[in-house]
Amino acid sequence: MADRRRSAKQGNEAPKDPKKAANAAFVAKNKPELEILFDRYRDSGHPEADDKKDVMQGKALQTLVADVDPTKGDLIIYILAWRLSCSHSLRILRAEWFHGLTQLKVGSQAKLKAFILSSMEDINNNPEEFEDFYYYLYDFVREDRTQLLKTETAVQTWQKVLRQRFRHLDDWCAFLQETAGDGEDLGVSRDVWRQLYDFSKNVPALDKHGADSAYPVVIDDFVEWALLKQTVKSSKP
Amino acid sequence: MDPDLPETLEEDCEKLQAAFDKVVNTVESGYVRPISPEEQMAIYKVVYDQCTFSSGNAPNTIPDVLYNRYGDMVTRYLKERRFESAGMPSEALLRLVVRRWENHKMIVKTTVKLVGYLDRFFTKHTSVDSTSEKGLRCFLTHVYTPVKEDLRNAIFQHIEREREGEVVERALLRQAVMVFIEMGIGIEPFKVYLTDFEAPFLAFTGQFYQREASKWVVENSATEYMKKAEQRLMEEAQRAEAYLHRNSEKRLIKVVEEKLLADQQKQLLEMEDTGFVALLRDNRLDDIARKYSLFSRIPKGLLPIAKLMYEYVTTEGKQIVQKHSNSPELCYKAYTKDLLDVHQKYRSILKNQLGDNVTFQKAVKDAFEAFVNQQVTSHVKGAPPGTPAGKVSSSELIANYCDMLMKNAANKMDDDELEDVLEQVVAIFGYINDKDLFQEFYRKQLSKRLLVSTVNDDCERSLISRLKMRQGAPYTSRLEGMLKDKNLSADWQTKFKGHLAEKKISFGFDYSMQVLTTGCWPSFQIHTLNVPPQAKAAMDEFAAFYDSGTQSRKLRWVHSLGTVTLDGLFNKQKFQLQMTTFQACVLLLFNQRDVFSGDELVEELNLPWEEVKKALQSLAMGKFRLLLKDVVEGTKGSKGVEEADTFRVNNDFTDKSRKLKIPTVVAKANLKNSQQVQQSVEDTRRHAIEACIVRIMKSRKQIEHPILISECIAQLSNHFTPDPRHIKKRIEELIAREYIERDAEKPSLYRYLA
Repeated sequence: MADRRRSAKQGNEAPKDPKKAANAAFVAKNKPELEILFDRYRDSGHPEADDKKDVMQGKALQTLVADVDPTKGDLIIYILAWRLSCSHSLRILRAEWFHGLTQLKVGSQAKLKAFILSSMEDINNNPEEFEDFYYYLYDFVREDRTQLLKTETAVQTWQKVLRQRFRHLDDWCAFLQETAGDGEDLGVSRDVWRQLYDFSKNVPALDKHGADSAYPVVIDDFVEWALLKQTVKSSKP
Repeated sequence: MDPDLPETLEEDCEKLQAAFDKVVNTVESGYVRPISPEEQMAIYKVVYDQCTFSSGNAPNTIPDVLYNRYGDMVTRYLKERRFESAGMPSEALLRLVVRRWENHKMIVKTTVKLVGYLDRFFTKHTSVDSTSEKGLRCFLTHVYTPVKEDLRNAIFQHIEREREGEVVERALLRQAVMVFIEMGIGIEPFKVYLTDFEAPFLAFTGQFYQREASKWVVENSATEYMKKAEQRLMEEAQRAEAYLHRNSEKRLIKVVEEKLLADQQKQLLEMEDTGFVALLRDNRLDDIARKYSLFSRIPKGLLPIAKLMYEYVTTEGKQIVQKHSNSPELCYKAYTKDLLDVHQKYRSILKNQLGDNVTFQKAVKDAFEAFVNQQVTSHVKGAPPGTPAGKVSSSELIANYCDMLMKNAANKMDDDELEDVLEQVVAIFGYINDKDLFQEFYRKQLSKRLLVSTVNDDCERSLISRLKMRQGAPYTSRLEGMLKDKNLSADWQTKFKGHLAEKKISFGFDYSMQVLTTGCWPSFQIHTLNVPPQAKAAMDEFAAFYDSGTQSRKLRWVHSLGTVTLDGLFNKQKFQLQMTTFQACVLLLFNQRDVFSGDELVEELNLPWEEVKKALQSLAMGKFRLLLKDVVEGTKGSKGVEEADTFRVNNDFTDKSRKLKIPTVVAKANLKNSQQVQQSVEDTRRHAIEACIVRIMKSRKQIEHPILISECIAQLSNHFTPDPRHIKKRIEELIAREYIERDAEKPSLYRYLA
């Protein structure tokens, strides 16, 4: 996804040389600062081994958050990772850091902060951008990419990302935790992840949801559960 | 006077008038021949002359004049005889009008002969009525129209009297009605009749029967009402034939049906003791037949009845299920018998009382499908109180019934009886939704019958071919395969014996085997087993022989199904002992050594402990103790068998009988068994649903969600009814495995990924 955007920014017909030249100039000017920034953050994460010197993860990311805007929490990381098109879960690689920030012409800490905050505005205002971001998240927060996203992790992420957008978010998370407690945690599939967003957009009232919907079975179950809860509540004196 | 008109005109008109008067008088007095041919001819000539008179240049207006004079004549004579119809007694009025009309017809007929030339010369070339028409029409204007209402009411009065039971003069009524019919002379045939008579008549009839119906409903039971209605319908049909126009019958009957039947239908069907449900309950066949035949006359009349039937049959069926759920021990035989009885009952009613009507057939079919597919709660006999009851599906119960039929049939019933029962059973089978579940049970039972008990080939084939006819060949192909295997095995047996004789090989014991084709038969557990060398020799010999006779086949021995008969010598007594292969192998080991422990047996036999344990239990702790379990010093013997326990031959074994069958450990309660079958069917279904979805997606390339679901259900309906929820789960699975994807814009649209 990000690749396409990047190439759109570059422009397909644009002659390579001027662009390359501009890039080169940028790199020359800002590379040191970016290096310093990266190292600083990485160090604050106290990496143990040498081979971790090119990776920003864990505490390092928290430091970054603190620098940019502590009130926004993990959202900062998510947005940055999305913009940089990070391909590993919950970490930023040096190469990605460089390449991405260079493309985006972000050369200093101040610019980084501004950039992240403006991206946040972006996704809040533009539904397509948000969808793109949301879809990307599924892979980014998935620790083990050979398996389905763990329900617990999914719930936490949803709490951060769908706060304003999904009326029934709390009910949904409660439902998942209840049913996951019954048996083994099967996890959340990509289809469910995506369809949930669609559901949050298109089905404001639970009783409008038809039993013959195309939504995944787990969403059908949720609606049934929530409606039952409602009738129980309303029948209580 | 017009100079162009001949002077003779007036004179001639008077002659005409005179002749006319004469005609009128004679007809009214009843004479048959009002006017002589000579007189007729004379007047005719007069008219003729007048008409053909030519006054030179001026066009001839005489015919016109004559024509009008004619009209005036007729009118005048009619006006003279005008009468007041209001207040006249109805019969008198009818007679009068009828007579007047008859007379008039005659008068006009005769007069037309006199002025007939006008028709040839005049009316034909202008647009006026012919003389005949004009003459008759005068009656319409001057006599009919003023009295028509009173005339009509008079007729109605008579009809009402007849309906109330009086006898009236039908001929008179017929003639009166004819007046209306014949009033439509030349204009539009029957228009007068339809507007002036029939329409009011139908309304009148409608009101009459509405009143009658309301009265009857209050005073009578539905049965009596229906009888009365039947009678009235017959009466009205007769009436129509007797004195109405032919075409009115249809419409008349329709009105009566509407008022008597359609308007009151709800009441009639729901009445306390004689409503339709009550009739079914009390098995009042004639009343059922009557209700059916009467209500089939009105449009959509059968639908409410069919609905009631559906509800009643469903309730009755559900009661059966309830009854068996509540019984202390579920008996498949009683359950199936009840189903068969109920089915027979309704089949007979459908055929005899309901004319095999399609609507009712559907109602009964739907009802049966509703309750046959209900699960029955079963309580296991002797289970501790508080054990949750299991749910048994009718597929299993009916399969068990078939099993029983096949086992006992040939002995207990003769051919026709059996065929009859089979036909009914297959009819019930048709209502089952989970046909694949039935097939699984049936297959398991068939395999048991084929391998362990004796089997009546004809009965088996008969039932299978019926199932085949109902469901198609694929459904029964495996069953037929099993039967074929049995027969083929018999062939192999014979050939093998021949082979042994030829090669002069003898094992010292009889050896028989059955060859089963994997796939047709239910899956059996295959265990490794070290067989005693004698048996091994026989097995190998047969395997070699079989290989030589076939191509690319692999044989696997299913020891769990085998049986062995051993000669045993205990305490100098000889016994013939029948037992399973596993038991025999365990026992034979004791020929080599006196003592074995459980572990050692496992090792020697290369058989899992589970099976060894079962064998030991049956040999050492069962009815016939051929082995003894060593009790450890100082402890009390336990009931169970452990790996560490040691066993030895019971040399003191004895029994009255010389031929013994060593029982095996009984398999666990049937509930677990049936649950296994259900489980395996569930698995098969999952694959069937997935295959179906992929098939549909492949051919459609893209499809909307609801359509995919309904297509899937339709395609699988022959075998079972898939739950839309399961189908959804399969779809999600296939999305995860990237067989299909959702459309980006429209998530309810699926696309096939090649």
